[in-house]
Amino acid sequence: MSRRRYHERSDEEDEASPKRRRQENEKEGIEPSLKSLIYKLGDRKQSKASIESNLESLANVLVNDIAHHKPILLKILSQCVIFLPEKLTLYTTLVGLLNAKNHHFGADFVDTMVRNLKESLKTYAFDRAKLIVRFLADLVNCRAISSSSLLKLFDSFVEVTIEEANIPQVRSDWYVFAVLAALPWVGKEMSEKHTEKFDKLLRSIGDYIKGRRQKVYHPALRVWSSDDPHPQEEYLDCLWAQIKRLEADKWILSRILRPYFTFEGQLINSLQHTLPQIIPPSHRDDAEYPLPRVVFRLFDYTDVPEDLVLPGAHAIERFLIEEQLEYLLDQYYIERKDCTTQLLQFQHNFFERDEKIPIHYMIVETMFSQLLRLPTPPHIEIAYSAIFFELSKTEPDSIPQILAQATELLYDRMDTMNLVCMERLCHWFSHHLSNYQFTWSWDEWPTALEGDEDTPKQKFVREVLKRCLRFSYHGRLFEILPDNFHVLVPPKPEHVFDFDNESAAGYELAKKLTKKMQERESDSNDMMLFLRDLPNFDPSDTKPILEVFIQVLLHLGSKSYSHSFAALNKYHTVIKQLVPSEEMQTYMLSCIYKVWKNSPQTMCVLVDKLVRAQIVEAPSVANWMFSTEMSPEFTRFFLWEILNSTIKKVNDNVDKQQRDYEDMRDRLDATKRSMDFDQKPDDALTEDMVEKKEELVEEAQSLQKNLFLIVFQRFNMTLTDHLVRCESAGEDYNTCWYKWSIERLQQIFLTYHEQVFKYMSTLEMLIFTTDTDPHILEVFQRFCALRA
Amino acid sequence: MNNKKLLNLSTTLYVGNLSFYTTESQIHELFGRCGDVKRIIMGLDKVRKTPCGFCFVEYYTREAGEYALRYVNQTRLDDRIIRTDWDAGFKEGRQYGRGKSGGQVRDEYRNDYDPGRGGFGKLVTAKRFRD
Repeated sequence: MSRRRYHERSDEEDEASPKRRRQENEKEGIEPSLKSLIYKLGDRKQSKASIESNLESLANVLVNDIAHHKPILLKILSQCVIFLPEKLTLYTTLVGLLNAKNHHFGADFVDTMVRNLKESLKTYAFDRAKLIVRFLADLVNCRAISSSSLLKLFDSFVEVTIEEANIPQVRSDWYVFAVLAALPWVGKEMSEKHTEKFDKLLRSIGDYIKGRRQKVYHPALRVWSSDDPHPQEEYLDCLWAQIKRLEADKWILSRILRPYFTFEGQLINSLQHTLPQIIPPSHRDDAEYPLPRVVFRLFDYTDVPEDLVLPGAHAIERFLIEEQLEYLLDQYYIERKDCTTQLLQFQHNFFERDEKIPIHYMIVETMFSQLLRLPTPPHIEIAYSAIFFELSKTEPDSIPQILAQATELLYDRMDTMNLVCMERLCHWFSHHLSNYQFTWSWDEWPTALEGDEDTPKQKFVREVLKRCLRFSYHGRLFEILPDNFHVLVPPKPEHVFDFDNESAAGYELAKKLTKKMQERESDSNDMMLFLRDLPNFDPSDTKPILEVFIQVLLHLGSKSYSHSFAALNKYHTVIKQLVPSEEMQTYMLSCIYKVWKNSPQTMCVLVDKLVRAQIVEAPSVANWMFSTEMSPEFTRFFLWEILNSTIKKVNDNVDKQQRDYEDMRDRLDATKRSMDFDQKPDDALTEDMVEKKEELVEEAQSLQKNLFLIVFQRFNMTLTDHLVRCESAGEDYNTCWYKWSIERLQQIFLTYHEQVFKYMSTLEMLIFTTDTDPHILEVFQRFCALRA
Repeated sequence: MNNKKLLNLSTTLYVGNLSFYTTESQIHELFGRCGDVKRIIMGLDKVRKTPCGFCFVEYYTREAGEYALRYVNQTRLDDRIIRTDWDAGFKEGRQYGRGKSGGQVRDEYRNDYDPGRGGFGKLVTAKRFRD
């Protein structure tokens, strides 16, 4: 502490302050180094000493810091619980050792954990709550928490399953899941010390899982509709089976690193703290519980090299490793290099010895499990591509081959794969290939040539090639594919111009328009005057003129997107005048499609621009997609790319208006409050303005509701038509077309479940009634069951 | 607004090391995977007005730009490892290369042969003609 500082401050403060300042400075100094010490525990780079001696020395160092730096220590250790879950047993051992040396600290730590748990439950931070419960459970093994009080915590969680009838199943599901996820760590202790009560707990859980849960949503979440070769188990069913197997194995968790057993001597006489009663907060209508899941399995023991052992589907190790890999992905996905390092290294702190676990296979499987997860992947799709690139770079002798093997398996099982998952695979595979010169053993996939465009394997390959085209150019596809695959190559993405030959009806008009558009001084007003002067201009039916106008505009702007955008922008007003109604907007979309039907990518880009420029409204896009004209293309991916993009824009707009409104409301309220203290508000914000904003929010929501209603109504009509037609013709309705179409309906429900849920009662009343075809109604019911 | 602030608020990326033959649609496909693209401005040779190996990608949101920096930077486009970085924002004139020959400065001085970027560097090429 420099003398100069002392003198600077001494005039202003009393005598106690220099000492406080010294302590504060020390605190600031010590936090980073404490963090570093504690976070780096177990990192191999640190030292060659065994983990036990690292723990011992760290505990000895930290115990001296408790007196002066307790709050910081508590804060850092709480963060380890949440942010370093892969080192669970290291930190529980550390806390156990600290508790043995200083039981007051142990008590304070448990208090902090309980507080954090209550807060997490109240704020729906369920992932955090689960980690805290798991940590508390493992602390029983460190003799820091009494097993009877932990059992009481488990009991109070499981009691949620017998709460009043109106709670959503996802609520009780989560509370049971939190207990089950903690059981592997503490099952042995529980079964030995509290045999009867623990048995009772297990039986209640079993009754709930096996008996009383509905799983109507299960088919909606499956990646494959077939259970061959791997059953698509519902996640709680699977975890329950794994726990039962562990119970049959006497709760022995072998192979996993658990240092507290080595320290049994030190820990045995610790003061075990009792957890206070923790009552799960009551259900509130705005509560958002995690959605149910399906367990994704790609590999089994026959897929991995013989010297490695893949834990079986119902082995608890499979669950524990996958759980850890997912934690790591969720923590580090933002930084692909760190993520790769963490994924590849975690097993060193998790297993006692270098186990012969095919960890690279499990990493690949876990990543695909996230990428293909329904309703939506936890992270943006491209993150998985990028992490796969890093993994392949870091382990070039292993990961690329496993990825190829995975791709082969996924292709083999394509016939029963959910369409949305197939689409994600197309995105991934095309991007992946684009980084490796599109090198692939296509000739090993002759089955892709069988059937037609809608046959699953052929569909997959065709859509992959369409994406590869976007990444490269038409000629390239012929270079990378064997000759027999050339038939699958999409058309050259060139535009069509119908009016450059004299026999075409609009040829003369097109010539005049071309000349006009190329005039430097031409602008919207000028153009509008020109059009009105045309002999056959009819303001009530602008269709003939519009078609030529659009074709010429797009023809002149065909060089690049920027050219097209510039043209659309220049004649924005003209177009809006020519296209006054939704019907005309739909017609315009079909005109544009005529020009750019060979480039789905350009269609997507143009429709996006038109919707953003408000030349075309969202319902028109939906109506165009479902029109008879587009029915031959109905199952092509690009149409759904366009629809989903449009729905997303509408949703984003609602969110934005809502956020802006809440912001304005908050600011106005703050202004009002400050006015009470006779301060002049310098904000020009008025109640009037806020009300106007509220109207905008309502308008945006109304547009959203309308769009979903139209989409669902059109689906209902299109699918019912098909079902009725097949029934009267005596044909099987379950064609590929039907499969793709019904899965798209399901996609809309699942992807936008948060928004659609708001309009459930309207949907039930207007569209998905008891008169609706049961095949269609089933999809609606699965969606309702998801959050029930 | 100073440059640092502009960069921190930017939704525009500079993309470098493109091939001269990489098209707008290729760029759109890759960068579109990170979020909706507002516009792409191709970098052009000042003299020839043809692409000279860089571009700007402008998104509607900052988040999309962040995804691109995390997941596209240093991966391949058109079989070349590309570089992305925040850009303070496109202004008319910035789409042109600032090298003396019309292309990018880096293509003036480099000594390697890069078929995707006009072959040898411009000075090397000029020297070869003189010699």
